Amino acid sequence: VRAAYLTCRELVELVTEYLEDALAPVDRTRFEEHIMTCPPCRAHLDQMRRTLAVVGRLSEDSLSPEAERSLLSAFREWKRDA
Amino acid sequence: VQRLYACLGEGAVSFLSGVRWPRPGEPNGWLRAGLDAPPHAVRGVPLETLPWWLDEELWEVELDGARTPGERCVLAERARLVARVAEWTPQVAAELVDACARRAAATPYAADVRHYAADAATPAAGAAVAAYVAAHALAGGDATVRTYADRFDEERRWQVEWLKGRLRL
Repeated sequence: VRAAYLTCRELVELVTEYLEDALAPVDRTRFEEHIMTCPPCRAHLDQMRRTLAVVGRLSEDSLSPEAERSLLSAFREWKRDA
Repeated sequence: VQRLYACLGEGAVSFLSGVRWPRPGEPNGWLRAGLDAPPHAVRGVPLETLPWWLDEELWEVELDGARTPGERCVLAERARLVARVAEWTPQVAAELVDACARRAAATPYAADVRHYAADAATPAAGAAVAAYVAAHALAGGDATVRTYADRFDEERRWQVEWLKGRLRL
């Protein structure tokens, strides 16, 4: 019996684990099968990989005090709104 | 000896792993599992599963060290590119899209083959999409039906034969 084709929604939920090489082999296979046959998901994976390449290098120390204050404020506001 | 291939993006970069394979003649020409790339990324694809992986560049690869069967591929301790299959070009990829569209012409999914292939960023990626959609169409379009898998695989075999003939593999 063929494993069910992954939906685009499921793929999006698995992208981070795929990029971190944390998927079980069977899930990785289903992920790759979908990626090779779905142009929008392929573009999504490409964008995620590029984004991580840029922002994945940012550390707490690299933030200016002003940027840190701004981010903390944004998160506090977000929690208040939730 | 089984011939194995790697389907890579432009510049010999694997779209799936993001890893750039060293090209023939470059120093340290081997891609080593766990060192240069994740273990599952060091692999060769047999001709029988080529339609699953099609991408811009098609290379013949050599594997070395212990081999492990993977899903539609063979994993190895290290691998290297041997020679690029020059016959696999954007034009040939477009020909495969046409061939798949003709195969699926009598199914309810006839228009989908070209439609989804046109969504892809490159002709080669479009060919991979067209090949999948055509197999899905000729399998009946419903994976829950008992005969689906056999018909799907049958169409994949047809695609393998097409590639074998057109690329002289």
